[in-house]
Amino acid sequence: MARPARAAPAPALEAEYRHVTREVTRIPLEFPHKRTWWLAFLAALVLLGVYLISAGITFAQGIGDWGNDIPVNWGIAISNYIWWIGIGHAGTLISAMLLLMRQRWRNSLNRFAEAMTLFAVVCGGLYPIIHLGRPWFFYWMAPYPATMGVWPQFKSPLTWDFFAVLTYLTVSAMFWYIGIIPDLAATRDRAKRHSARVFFGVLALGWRGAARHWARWRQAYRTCAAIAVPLVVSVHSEISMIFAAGPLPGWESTVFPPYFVLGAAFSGFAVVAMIATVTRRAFGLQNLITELHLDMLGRLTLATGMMTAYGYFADVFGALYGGQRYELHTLHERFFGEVSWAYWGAVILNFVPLQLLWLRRWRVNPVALFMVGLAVTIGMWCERYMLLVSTLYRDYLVSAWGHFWPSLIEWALFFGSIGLWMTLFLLFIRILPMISAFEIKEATFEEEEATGAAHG
Amino acid sequence: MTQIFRPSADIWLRLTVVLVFFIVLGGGLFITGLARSSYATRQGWPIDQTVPFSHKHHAGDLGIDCRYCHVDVERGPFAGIPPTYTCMTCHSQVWTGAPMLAPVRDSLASGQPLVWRRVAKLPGYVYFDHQIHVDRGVPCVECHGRMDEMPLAYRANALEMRFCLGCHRDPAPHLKPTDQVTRMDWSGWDKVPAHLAFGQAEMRRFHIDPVKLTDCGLCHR
Amino acid sequence: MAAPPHTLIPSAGAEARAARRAAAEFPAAFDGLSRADRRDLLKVMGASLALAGLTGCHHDPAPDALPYVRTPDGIVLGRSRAYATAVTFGGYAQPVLATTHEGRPTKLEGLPEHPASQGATDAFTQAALLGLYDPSRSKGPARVGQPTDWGAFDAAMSANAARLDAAKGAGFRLLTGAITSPTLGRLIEALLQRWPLARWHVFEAVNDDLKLQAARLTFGRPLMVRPQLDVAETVITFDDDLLGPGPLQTSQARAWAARRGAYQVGKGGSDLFTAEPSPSLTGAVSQNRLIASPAEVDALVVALAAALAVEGAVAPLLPPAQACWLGLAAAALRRSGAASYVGVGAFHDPAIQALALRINTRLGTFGHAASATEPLIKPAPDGAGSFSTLIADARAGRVDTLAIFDANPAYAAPRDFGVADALKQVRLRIHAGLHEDETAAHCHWHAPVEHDLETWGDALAVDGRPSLIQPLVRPFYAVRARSVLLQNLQGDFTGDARGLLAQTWKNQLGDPQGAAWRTAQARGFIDTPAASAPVSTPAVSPVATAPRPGGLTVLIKPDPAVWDGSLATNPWLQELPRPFTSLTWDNVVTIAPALAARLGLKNGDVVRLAVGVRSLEGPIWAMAGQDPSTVILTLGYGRTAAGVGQNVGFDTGALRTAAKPWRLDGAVLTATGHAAALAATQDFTALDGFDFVRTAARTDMQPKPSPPPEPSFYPRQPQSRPQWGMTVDLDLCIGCNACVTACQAENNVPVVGKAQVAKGRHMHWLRVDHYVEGDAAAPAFFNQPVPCMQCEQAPCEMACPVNASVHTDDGLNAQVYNRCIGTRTCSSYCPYKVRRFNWFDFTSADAPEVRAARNPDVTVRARGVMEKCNYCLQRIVAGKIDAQVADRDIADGEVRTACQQACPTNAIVFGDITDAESQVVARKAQARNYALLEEVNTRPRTTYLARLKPEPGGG
Repeated sequence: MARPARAAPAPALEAEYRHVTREVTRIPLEFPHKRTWWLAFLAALVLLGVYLISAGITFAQGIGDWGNDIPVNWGIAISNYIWWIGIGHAGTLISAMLLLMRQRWRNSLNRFAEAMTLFAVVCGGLYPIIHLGRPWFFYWMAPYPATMGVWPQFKSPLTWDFFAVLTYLTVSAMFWYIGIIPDLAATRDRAKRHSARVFFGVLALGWRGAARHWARWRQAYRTCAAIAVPLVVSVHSEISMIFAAGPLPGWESTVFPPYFVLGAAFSGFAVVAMIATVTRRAFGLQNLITELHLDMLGRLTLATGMMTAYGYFADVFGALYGGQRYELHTLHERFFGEVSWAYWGAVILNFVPLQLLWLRRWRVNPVALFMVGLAVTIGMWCERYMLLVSTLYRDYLVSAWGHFWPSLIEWALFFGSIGLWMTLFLLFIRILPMISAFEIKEATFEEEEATGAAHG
Repeated sequence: MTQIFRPSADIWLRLTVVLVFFIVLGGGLFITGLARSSYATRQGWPIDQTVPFSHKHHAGDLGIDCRYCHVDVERGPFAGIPPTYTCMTCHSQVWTGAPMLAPVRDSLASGQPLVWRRVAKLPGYVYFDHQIHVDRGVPCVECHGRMDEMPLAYRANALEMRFCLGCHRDPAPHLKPTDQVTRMDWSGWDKVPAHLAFGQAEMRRFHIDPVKLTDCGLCHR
Repeated sequence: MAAPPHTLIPSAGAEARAARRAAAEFPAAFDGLSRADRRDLLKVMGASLALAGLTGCHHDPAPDALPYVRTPDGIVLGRSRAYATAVTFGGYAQPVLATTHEGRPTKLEGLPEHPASQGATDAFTQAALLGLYDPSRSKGPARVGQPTDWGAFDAAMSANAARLDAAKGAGFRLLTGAITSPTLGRLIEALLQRWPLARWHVFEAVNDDLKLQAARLTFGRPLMVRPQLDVAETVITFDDDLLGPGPLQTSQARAWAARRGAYQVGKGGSDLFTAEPSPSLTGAVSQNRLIASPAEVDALVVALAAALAVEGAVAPLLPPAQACWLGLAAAALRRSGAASYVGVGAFHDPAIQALALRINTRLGTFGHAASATEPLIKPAPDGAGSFSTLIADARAGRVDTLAIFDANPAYAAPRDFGVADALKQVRLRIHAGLHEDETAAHCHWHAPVEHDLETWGDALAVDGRPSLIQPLVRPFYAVRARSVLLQNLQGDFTGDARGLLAQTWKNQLGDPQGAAWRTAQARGFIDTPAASAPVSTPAVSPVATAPRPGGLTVLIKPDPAVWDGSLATNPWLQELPRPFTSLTWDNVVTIAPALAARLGLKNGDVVRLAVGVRSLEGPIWAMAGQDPSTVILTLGYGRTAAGVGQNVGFDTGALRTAAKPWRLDGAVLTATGHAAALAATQDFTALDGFDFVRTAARTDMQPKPSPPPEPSFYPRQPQSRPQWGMTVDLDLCIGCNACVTACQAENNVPVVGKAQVAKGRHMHWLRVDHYVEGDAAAPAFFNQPVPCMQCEQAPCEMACPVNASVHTDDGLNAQVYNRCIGTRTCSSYCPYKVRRFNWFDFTSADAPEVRAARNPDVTVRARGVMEKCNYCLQRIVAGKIDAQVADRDIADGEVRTACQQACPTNAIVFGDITDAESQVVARKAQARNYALLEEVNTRPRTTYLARLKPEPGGG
């Protein structure tokens, strides 16, 4: 395992503890750059407004306000949904997986990664409801004792979706909250204003850091992690079924589940990298989010990225090797058709800048890492769009071929959903400790032990 | 460090958590309960009519057969609400001057239809056919209840989809002799041992297959 | 059974609500986004969100119910009744069996007993139903555009009649459309006897004038010549669309299909040779299609005549390709002799048409594969010149009173007639018609007439058999029967339509209460076909072939959907995808792809088409298989007063002239630089190598052995009886669209308007795909009707999260609209893309009269719900109940889908595939039977019969 960048001398340990806690908790308590935050928040609220308005119009008038048609009766609503849920993978993956693998370096990243996840899943989860023809009946997808005496159709990938996403949302929320409790307590203790104390006090659920608390907390936290990890895999495998279960060229493919999960993790890490670099800069957390972390993020992004690249390859190879006429045609459409921009956009943005990350000096360069992350985020959006449209708009019967371009309202919804995410995330960094102080302390302590032992 | 909360705060917190849990649960139960309540289904709510027609009097006391007024029940999807003429067949002789029958006489005179309020109304997307049900020996009382005991007609059953399915998934117990479909009181029926197998026999006789009976397309198109 | 005069009983409450909500006429047809009732929407949302478990549709716990005061005889609530009657088209009766629900006509079907249609219909007849409910119909008499009452009209008429009586009718002119009605004929004669100086003129935009002229040239008198396609083993058509749209389509398609069917099983031949400038339905199914400019077509006729040694015909020099085609054609003709027919388009030079008649006489066709009868359309005194005489007289001020019946010359007559100005010279102008149209705008009086479904009358079917027209419903508006109005013109207000009709048939049928009359009425027609007239030996007249004209040749044809514009108010027809182009809501300038390429034009680019000083502008459409020197225009658009058809497309009247209404030489086409948005339902037609439509040789016609069931992980579908299936014979389908409209009428398929169609959101459950294969200059054409395939292993069913797309025990993929929440997964997974989605609320803002046209046995779909073909489930259920009540199985052919019923060529067969005797099983057993997209392994219940390959030496 990688060693931390700098190991403090033993006497300074106490000081370091205080330093860490202060650094982390000061952000919610006495917030730096209030101005910038407000500006960002304002922008977020505007976008949120756009979201609510366009969603309202769609509710009132119908899906006809979108660019959808027959054959392309799923538009960017579904591709955005997949994109968002994909992004919502990294947090839980980083946090839970690495927690179970006792990867110490995770500690500076996990908290906001988890938050990011949570909010992304919220943004994604709303899409399937908005896109319904009759959204007010969305609950018919849930198994509840209806007077109609019928149940949902459990063969349908959408029913699985309903459960998968809901479960994922619940578990990641739990995992995130449990994780944050000790720091809430810390924040409470350092809070000056009474209101703040009460607020954090309530959220901290009366945490006093007693040994018993810690014991229980570990149990709960690890259990959640253990549940979360398989979910990370299941959610996007399942979402891939929405495509893979359909008998359409370019969709009906066994490579989809791994392809989607890896792609999801890929986009997720990319977003985490972006956030990490930004917050690091914004709040001067260079000595909490260290180069080590950036390095690790770079590696993860590179790894998952290359695996996703394999997914692309497998997809193309499958079509060519299978040689089935319609598969080949769809492949042709992806390469040269109306949506080829999305295909090549995905390939280039996802994999070309990525190659920088082979070198450490680029991995630890925040700007480079941020740019790569941005490229990947956009690239993955292109991929989702391409997968959806290129298959639907020309599937089998020539007579049924069509065209697709999203309408203004669809775009508004998309950027609006980004606004929703920003709003939630900005509130989070403003109000809650976004880096796990106690875990860092823990880590530093163990480092001390280690180094002490080494010196003998 | 100063104390923010009183010691009891912990109790309160736990209480709130428990409370929230029960509120959510209770809310769910309440809504599902409400959906089934007679308030939502209008089950058992007598409906005022322009002419306070009493099925109890006509069908019960006088023993007029349902089909005397609801003529279409054996030949069409709707039982049909009788035309003014049907009322007047009798009421041109009896109760000719009764003030409560004034609307009926007016209707005949003016040629304007009587306005009734529907009691057993199914949603527009449900296609129920009286003819086949009556023909297969499903008695009126199965859905409409003891009309012969209703001074003012009301919906005896909720007529929700599960009510229909209850019968379509297991028709046997609901089948009665086809020549007695308008009989209201079946209390004694099951006492007779011979009757226990009757439904099964009818199903065989009419080739009734529950699998076919639960085809969605049977009632929704 | 005479039709009791039903009143319009709204089905409880619904129509009342409709009335309250009645908004625009066809809002969807204008902006797609119908004014959905927000209040209701919120109510639904509220109800369903609050009362989880309720289906959220409990608006009104106890809505009103309105029983009859006295139930009309034979009415059973919820059971439809059928009456034999007829609707008129182009003057001819189209015999129909009209379905009514509680007195509302809801569907028109062909009259099975009638020899001409044999139960089939065309798209026009299907759409005639909506004509009855057309919100743009005039609802009462009007005086100079202002609504008034009949009293005022009667007063004016009686005063005028008195004047005319004194003047012996001098200056009175009657202008009507084409009339075959014996009653109207009788009344007009009576009128002319009463007013000897009055005169009667006829104006019908699409007419047989040139045809009759040709007959006069040949036989010395105007005879109506018709092919007997059930007999004709070789048919040569020169730009003559025998199977194409028009009054004759149903009967001729039926006859052709009969011959074709016999040919399929090896009985006799069925050779179809076509030489035409632009693809027609006939050309598309013809085995030997030759692309030739109109001039070349004329030359070919002459050449054929020469080849068959018809006197006076001098063989012109032909290019090799045409010579070769002609050789084949001539050979085939010699083979079949009397069992062959040669036809030239009704809009071609009479001399050329006459030549064709002489070829037929030479072949001895008359009496076998062709028949000649006296014309059924009552000839106007001045024959073909009738209308121009009227205009001339009007200009000269010789017309005092002009009564116009069912004619719209102000729009439909070529501009250079100057109808509007001519009318101004007339002192009193009276217009009687269904709509207050362009002509009505130039008249003092507009008298609304009854629709065929609400009036008493008669008319001759295309085979000359008189049909009796009886009302199915009491007129909704203050309208009068045409016969009554004719009386009114003479100041007689006593007559009633039924009486006048009875009087006509007094001698034949006796008293209207009598048995003979009642039987005739129940039957719907009187079985006396037109007597075939003897054809004299043709007069010899030498034919010179005209020199090939320079520039482009413009041919003007009636529109396959809105015809001459008289049907432009009918949204079903407006949204009917035209053959080949699949265009809706528009007419186009059709040119050859080569020409488009040369001018650098793409579909929708607006061009300026000029002939001499006259010109028009319109969007182009590059039509594969069209002659590069020919431009095709269609009538019926650019109307200025026509409900939904108003200001749609461009008016070809700008180009036509009285002298040359159909063909204009030396046209010039120039690009204008701007483009127009067109709404086509099918964007791609090139088949390039896909096997969606297959062809087979007739030689391997022996039934193929049923293949062994391939191994499958899935359980086989339950094989309980019945199991429904369908076949579509692509060798018989002519792509006439009758099935599409029939489906629309039967299943309450909404009209969504041009904007939505352009977005790819048309709602037709049954679409007719058009494919071209091979070189775009001279491709092969294919039609393929595509309803839902009703897959046994349907992807849509697996896709639906809420069980809204389900498999029924008898093998249908039922769609439960009220359960659907609109995830659209089913449509995404559907390999055939036959599902349709309600993107907006397309229905709830329809006018109340439009709602009245709906089929009450089919749910009207809400916003956000997926819908699709379900083999007319409502008919299946009804048939099932009838059979069960009678304790028997459903007989083959007892349940017929709307498309099958309408199909004039019997291409569509539906039935129980477990019944070994059924017709559908017989068809599926044929070697030609194949499943669309077999490789997807959806096991469709709808299968196709491959089209037969042309055989060497024809076939």
